Amino acid sequence: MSDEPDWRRPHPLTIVVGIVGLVANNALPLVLLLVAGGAGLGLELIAFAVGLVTVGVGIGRWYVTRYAVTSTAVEHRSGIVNRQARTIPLDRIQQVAVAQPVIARVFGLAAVQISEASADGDVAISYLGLGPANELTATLRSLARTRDAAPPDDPVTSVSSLPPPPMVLHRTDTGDLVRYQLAVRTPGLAVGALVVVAIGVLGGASAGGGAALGGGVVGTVVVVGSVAMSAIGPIFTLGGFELSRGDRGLTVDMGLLSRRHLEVRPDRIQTVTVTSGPIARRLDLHQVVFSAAVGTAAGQGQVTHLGPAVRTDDVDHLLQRALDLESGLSTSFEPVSGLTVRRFLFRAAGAWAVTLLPWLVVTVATGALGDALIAGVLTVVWSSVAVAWARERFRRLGVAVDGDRVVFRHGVLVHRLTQLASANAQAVVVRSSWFQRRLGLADLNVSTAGVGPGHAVRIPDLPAPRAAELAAIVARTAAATRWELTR
Amino acid sequence: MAPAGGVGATLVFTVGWILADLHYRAWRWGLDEHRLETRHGVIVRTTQIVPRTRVQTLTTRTGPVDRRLGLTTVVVHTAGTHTPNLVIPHVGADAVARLQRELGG
Repeated sequence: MSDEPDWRRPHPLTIVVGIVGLVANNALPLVLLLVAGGAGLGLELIAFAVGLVTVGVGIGRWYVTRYAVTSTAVEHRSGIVNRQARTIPLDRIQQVAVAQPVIARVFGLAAVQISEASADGDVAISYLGLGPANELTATLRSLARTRDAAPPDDPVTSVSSLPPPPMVLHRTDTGDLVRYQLAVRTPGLAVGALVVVAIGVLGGASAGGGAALGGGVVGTVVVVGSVAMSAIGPIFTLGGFELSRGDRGLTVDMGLLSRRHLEVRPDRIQTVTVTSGPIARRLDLHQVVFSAAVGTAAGQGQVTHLGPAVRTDDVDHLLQRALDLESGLSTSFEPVSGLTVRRFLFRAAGAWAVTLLPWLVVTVATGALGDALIAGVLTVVWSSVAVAWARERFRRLGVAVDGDRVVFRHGVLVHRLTQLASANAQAVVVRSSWFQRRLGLADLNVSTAGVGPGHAVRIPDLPAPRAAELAAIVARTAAATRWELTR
Repeated sequence: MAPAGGVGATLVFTVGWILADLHYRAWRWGLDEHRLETRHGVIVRTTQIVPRTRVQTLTTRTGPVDRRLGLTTVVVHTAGTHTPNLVIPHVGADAVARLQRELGG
């Protein structure tokens, strides 16, 4: 490779995409401006000037942005006033994604997002033509591989052997996806509906009986509409989800209008989490996500799926074929200490003591017996719910630790299961409060380099000696494994 | 007012001294061939274990008071996002030298 990097610019149509995006985002103010522009020459000139500046900035930004792939790193230069030079060594790359937001897709463009593990997050090269974007991804992948392997004696053979086609591990059925998204939002819907309908009815009731019914109907429509709207976004983002495994590692393709293509090596994955809410469980659907060691800028708010809506029977199969994990949902767990029930009830009693108890005392003391009765009834309801919840929480808590991995099951309404390889543990913490020490309990936390949901495992209320024992097992495996954010 | 203030100040000072003493007594750290372990805390006891191979960087901090007393605070960084640091406060120079020698390589 030559010394001087082979600098490339993004596609010129990037400027147009930028302008279209800006117009789309500011459609309402622009329309108002155009309408008001008829009232005087001044506003039109201002709008024209603003437009000119925007186009100029767009061109300038495109002009100064450059990227290059050398034999050791990806280089990226950007910024007109504040210049930025990013260098990502090839072996620090954690995952590569090709994203096509709607507008870019219309023009046949794509952005390449290269994530590494530092807090500076990722480099986004936007936009390239789809062909060059895929080529760039392939180049990065092959360069990363040749750095792993010794140079071949005969370069010709490595070119002529075709890699096997990737194996599709999971394709999300759109119906399942829609059902799952609605299932996730419905509890919020139920609560919101009660509140909004109540407001509607009460508001209408003060205006008359018919208006109360109208208020209720309007409230319901508003809530149903907003739930449907909130589900539409994820359905468009996750629709057509396909997970494959092959030469490139794990690849994820998703999106109906905006497409996104993600490549990540299985050994970069830090933890895997399987989640299902109460309604999703009835529908037999789970969400499987992973956390990788990507910088917080990239990982923030971005959930990385292995399967956004997977049937129960398929979950273990998916985990095994994607990540070589032996068992997921069918792991046999050991329970935490039964005394966790007592600790939970103690905390519930504390919450009651600062909320309902003062009310109860005051109402009894002042002789407001009606209110005191309400407080009493609420206390009975609170205690029954607390006891039932404490018991169910204990039943759900389970941990499985062996030399290879840590599996943790928890969650009462929303069931969660997190798995991580002990070799990926960064730090192990055993913590016990004064109260826990009285009961002989301790919490065990295992943290990884992952970012996102489930990146750390926090196991509460294990018997203290067992917590220490498990901590030692995990730490021993981690210590024995050389762990780097490379290769 | 003044006597009340004096009593209050003495109380705060005494309690502070006792707490500091308890915290000091509870603090432990150990380094063997596989891991670095710290134990600390009076009311909430915490044991932190970082396998040797997970140490990313070692940082030392010295404030003005520490410098006068010849002490240093050592911060061991890991790649963990939940528990990124292990802090060993106010250790002497020989401990620092040992940590740097064993973990820095």
